[in-house]
Amino acid sequence: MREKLQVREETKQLVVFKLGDEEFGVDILQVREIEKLDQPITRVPRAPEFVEGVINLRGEVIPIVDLRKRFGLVVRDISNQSRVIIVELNNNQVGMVVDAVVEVLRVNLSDIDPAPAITKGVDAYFLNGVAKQNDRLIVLLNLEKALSAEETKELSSMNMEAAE
Amino acid sequence: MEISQYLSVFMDECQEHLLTLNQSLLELEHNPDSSGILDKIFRAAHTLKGASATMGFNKMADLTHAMEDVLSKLRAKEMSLTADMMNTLFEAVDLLEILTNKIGEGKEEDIEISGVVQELRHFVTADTAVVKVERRQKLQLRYLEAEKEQIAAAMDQGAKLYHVDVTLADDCLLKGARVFMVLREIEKKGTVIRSIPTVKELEDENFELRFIIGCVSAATAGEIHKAVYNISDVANVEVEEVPLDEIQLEKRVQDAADHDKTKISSNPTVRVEIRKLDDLMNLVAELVINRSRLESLGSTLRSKELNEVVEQVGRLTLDLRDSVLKARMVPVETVFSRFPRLVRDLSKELGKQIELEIFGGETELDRTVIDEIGDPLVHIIRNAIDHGIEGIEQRRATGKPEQGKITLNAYQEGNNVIITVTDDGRGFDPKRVREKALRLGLVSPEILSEMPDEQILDFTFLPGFSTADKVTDVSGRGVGMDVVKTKVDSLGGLVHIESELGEGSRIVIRLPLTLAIIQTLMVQLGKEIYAIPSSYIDQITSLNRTDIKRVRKQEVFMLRGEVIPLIRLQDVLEIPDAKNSYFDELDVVVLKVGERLIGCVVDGLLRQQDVVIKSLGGFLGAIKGIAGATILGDGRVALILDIRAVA
Repeated sequence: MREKLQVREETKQLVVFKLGDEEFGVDILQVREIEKLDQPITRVPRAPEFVEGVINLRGEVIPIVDLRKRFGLVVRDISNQSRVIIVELNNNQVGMVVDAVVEVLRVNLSDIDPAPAITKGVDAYFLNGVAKQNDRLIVLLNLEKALSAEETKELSSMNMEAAE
Repeated sequence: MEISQYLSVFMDECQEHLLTLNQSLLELEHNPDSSGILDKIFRAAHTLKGASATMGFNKMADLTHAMEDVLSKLRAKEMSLTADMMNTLFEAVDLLEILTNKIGEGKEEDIEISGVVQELRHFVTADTAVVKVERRQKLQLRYLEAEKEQIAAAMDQGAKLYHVDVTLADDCLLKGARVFMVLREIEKKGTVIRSIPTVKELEDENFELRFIIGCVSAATAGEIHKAVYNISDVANVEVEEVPLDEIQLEKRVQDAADHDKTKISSNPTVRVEIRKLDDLMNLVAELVINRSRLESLGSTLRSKELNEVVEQVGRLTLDLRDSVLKARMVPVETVFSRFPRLVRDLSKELGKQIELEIFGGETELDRTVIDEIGDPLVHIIRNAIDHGIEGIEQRRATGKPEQGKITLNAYQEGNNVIITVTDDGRGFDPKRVREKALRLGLVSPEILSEMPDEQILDFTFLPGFSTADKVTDVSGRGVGMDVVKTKVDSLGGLVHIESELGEGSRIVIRLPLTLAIIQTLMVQLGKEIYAIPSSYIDQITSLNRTDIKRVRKQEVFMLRGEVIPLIRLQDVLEIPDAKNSYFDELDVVVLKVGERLIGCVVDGLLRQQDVVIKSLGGFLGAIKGIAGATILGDGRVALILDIRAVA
């Protein structure tokens, strides 16, 4: 029984991207597409600080989050390596600006460990775990927290009050 | 897959027949001898019976069968229509509505129909004595959503909900006094939420021997039982604790509101799923955006041929857009049609005589608006019946006709539809509103004394602001005007109250025809472009820097002899690079928000443009001051201002 389970071990496909030297991964099932940032971003007043603004993605208006700002890392300008990873979260599409997209990788679930408390400045609060691939460590993002954490909750509840 | 396809057709049909049944029963009540109306009712019940039996919905089939039996006897003139019969038929239709909704959820079995079916059968067998007993056994308390919340809040504090079922002795004298004692005992231990019959009817001794009181109390069932049972002439008391999740909601208000969303106009039509129309609308929206793109290309390239094509495409796009919008238009009739029933039931319950007049039911509105407007109207009409229109004696005393009147009117005015609800009741008392506003500390006495009465009435739209002198636990209370305001606001509409103390009041709702496309003025602020909905724009003017005065710290200017506050939009929107502070000549967009005028300074006026509203999505959707976004001809995104939040 146990042997069989191990043979058919489940795997996960990750989209691996870079912020600085560090590699992060998101589940490919949550990724809608990867885009170059070749259009101006429209700033949205009163949006959370880490929200760069919105862009037009083939007729849809999509918010863009700067992950560096989100994680409190040093903010960098957009380079030609920069990409926007469009992910779907609770039926909403959100774009994440990352320094570069590296590859799509298949990892075994058993190679994923819980996240250590701090990985190069990114709070474990935003992370789901760490995937070990040979000598690489890929940090798995918890999208729910990274994209709609406390700030956004506070924001929408403030507006609810205002509307009432 | 196929069954679900049939199911949606079946449900649609049910809704239509239910509409017919409700309307025709109301007509029948006024006109009991019309065989034409009876035939119509019979046909609807009969069709429903056949359809539900075919689909295997046995409860619905049983119920409609029982209705059909009664109706066929009535048609054959083998018996005549009584008030009891009428009520039971209405109850049966209510049950059918519930059943239809439950079938949609796949839970037909949850609904108990045997009580009503038995009543209907007894009419046919003419065994009215038994009917009475049956009626008594099924007294069932139903609560409004707001009452349920009240109960839940009490439960949080450790109270429980009890249904106290009291039967008085057969030979009881002074029933009213006994009721009073019972209510007093219960009030000592808790709060009465609702009763059957209503407290008013109880006080008027307008009941037989039995009544049920729903109350919340921290006492135990035994304590309540003991307290009530000790009152003389109480023959029997049953106290039952009811868990919160078993509370039955008053479906006439609640379910009706829900199911109206699926109601479809009864004109001859092809049924189209709303989703498909929405898809179509989205495609047209894309086309409109690309049209703007083509136009800007055309003007850059200066090609005569291209410009001709662009013009053609532009015209076609507009026509197409109009057609799609028209396809989404639904007459307000679909919403209005449920009010005769609501007015009938409520006025009976409250012992008032009220006539409802409806005008302009054929006025059309976009589906999205229609879907949303039902609830606010229910609140307004309930309010008018509950608090607006006086009781019969009071009306007589003030020299008004005994029968109160509510008028519902809809008409189109430009790009808006106006819906008014007028009643000839007591009207709002500005004095009382002032007192209440003071008591709640909403404004200082100085400001309040300068406010005109019309403005005072706007306080009524604040949450929890009720001016009802006695907020009885049983009646519908003053809840709801804040709900009305919030909902109308969210539709981009306006609502205000006109009232004459003692003469009546009128609530005016102004709604946009559609929510999908709006006309805007594009303005420049620094490097950013914003769209201001044209419906809010009163005029555009330019000001010299020297025209600006200051009142305290607020910039103001004079327009037509009126002092108008001036807002620098860059401050509200935190735009860093706006330039107008350096200009000598300022472009000012004067906005009209309700009755107020506000001037907004911008860096430049760009153009008027029809834009397709796109949501910012759930992630950013709730940002204050931004109503949505739109995509410009060059593909960039521009934000649409939410004027009410900006001003």
